[in-house]
Amino acid sequence: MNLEAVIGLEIHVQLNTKTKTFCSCSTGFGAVPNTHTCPVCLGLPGALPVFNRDVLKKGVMAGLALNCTICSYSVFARKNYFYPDLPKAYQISQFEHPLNRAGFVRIKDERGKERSIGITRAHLEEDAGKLVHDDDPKGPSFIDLNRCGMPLLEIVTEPDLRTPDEAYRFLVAVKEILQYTEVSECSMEKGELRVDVNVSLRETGEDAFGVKQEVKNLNSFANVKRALEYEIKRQSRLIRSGERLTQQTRLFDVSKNATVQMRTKESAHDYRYFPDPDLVPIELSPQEIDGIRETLPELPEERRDRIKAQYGLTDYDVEVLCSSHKIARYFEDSARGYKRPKKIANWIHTEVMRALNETGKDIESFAVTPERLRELFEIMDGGVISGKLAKAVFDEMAASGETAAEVVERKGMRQLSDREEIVDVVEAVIRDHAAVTDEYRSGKKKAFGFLVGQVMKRTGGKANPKIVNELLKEKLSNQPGVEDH
Amino acid sequence: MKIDGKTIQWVAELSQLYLSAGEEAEMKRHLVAILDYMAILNELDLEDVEPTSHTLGYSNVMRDDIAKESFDVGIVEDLAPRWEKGHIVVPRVV
Ligand SMILES: [Zn+2]
Repeated sequence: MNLEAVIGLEIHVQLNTKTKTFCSCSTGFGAVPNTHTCPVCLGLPGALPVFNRDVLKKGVMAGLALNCTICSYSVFARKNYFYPDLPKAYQISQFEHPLNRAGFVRIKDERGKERSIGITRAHLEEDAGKLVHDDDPKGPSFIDLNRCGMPLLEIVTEPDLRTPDEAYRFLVAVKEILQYTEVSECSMEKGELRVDVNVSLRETGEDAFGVKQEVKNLNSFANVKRALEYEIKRQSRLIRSGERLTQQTRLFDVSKNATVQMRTKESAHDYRYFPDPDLVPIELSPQEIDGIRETLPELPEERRDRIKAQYGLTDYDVEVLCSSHKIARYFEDSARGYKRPKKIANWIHTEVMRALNETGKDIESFAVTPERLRELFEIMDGGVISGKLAKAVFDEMAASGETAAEVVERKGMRQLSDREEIVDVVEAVIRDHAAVTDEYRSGKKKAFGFLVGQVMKRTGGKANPKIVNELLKEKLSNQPGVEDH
Repeated sequence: MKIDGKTIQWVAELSQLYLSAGEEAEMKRHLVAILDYMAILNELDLEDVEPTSHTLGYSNVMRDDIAKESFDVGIVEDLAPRWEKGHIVVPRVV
């Protein structure tokens, strides 16, 4: 029996507006619990919701970026259920008439083959509050309603994904698109991006779906991958041993690296959606949709293609530089007006990435700004410092926040380009290493490297390597035998 | 739609209500009456009628994304059935 997995995802993304979906409470993160609340988001009797126009705009932007059809007519519905994180006892969501339908995201699979993953819908809804359970398992639950009413976009995929790795790649692509579009920061630590997966197995080539299992509580893409790997193994073991699966909701337990059946009293759901009579429909004309389309920034795929062509970079360069829109922007700002962008690209994926890793800094708060990096390159090109010294200068810049010129000045790192000074050292080296010099002259070309090394060593690495090479060659060929000085 | 004891118990469970046997019987009587009335409406031929989701006749009522003052947390505390460490306290749900 050859089994294949069929995977679908539900992604909840918090849209980064200043206020909640239906009231003017702030969406600021980390506020004192229950302080961002009002009659609307507490569901007090008589309070009426009014829709935030920026939630609509960002919802449309995300929809366009995910290649969706934006619906000209959409309606908010009430999704009814009782749970303490939901004071109104219904969540305002979209059901029959979502904002966005029928999109797709292109990814590359493990073998680099392009795949198009369908998006069924991407609709708007409000978030629920946050529950914290007492450490004592018999203790109560605590509610913070600050999150209640925060704007979410729920993205639902078609069952197009086949492997945990594909699911991972898809999530990375979606996150990147949303970050490029700047509709969400997608910080998983802050809970701005949450993923539920469903997975079933079937015999390869078959059209019918198997019994699907939903897995919730996945707080990182790595955990999505792990949970899927575990589920596929578990289900295939059950199927092969002839057991029948029942549809389940499971949770991923990080400590066990396994999914476990959810124990909950809330297994019973019957949401009884109906249009929310407190909210009017949303109608969008083609002109309004086009207006929003014009505000869309360049998306990851387009940017990759353009950067590759414009700067003459390799696929690998582009992959690293465009792994985040912030790095891509950093690169383009650094390379602006600079004639060898490839050099800057190399520097970013070696030195800049290393420095960021070491300092734990975000590229936006990195002391070496794009302008300063370019300045460093200009100083290097001008022969003031060598490439080797440039690394040391760069590290100093990252640590102290100085410009390249300031570091070079303060540390006396200026490259030695004065031929007169270098020539003295070259001659001294030749004199002190007569044996090696003879070897070189008798044809052992390798000896040359040793001599260059000696000159660099004596000048503390500051000598201009090009001049050292020239002078050494000149002295070694012009002066057979030991020279008097 | 037929309303039996099971339906009542199911709806009660969804609503997190605990009904006595007497209350269940009373609820059943009410629901049956409501649904019988709906059955009369169901006799209408609505083949060519679009479902109505709104009756107001206008759309796109929106506000700008500008934050306004929220509740003083003391008000939330007063509204809460139980309050501890800045949180509303409820019986454990998991
Ligand atoms: Zn509010």
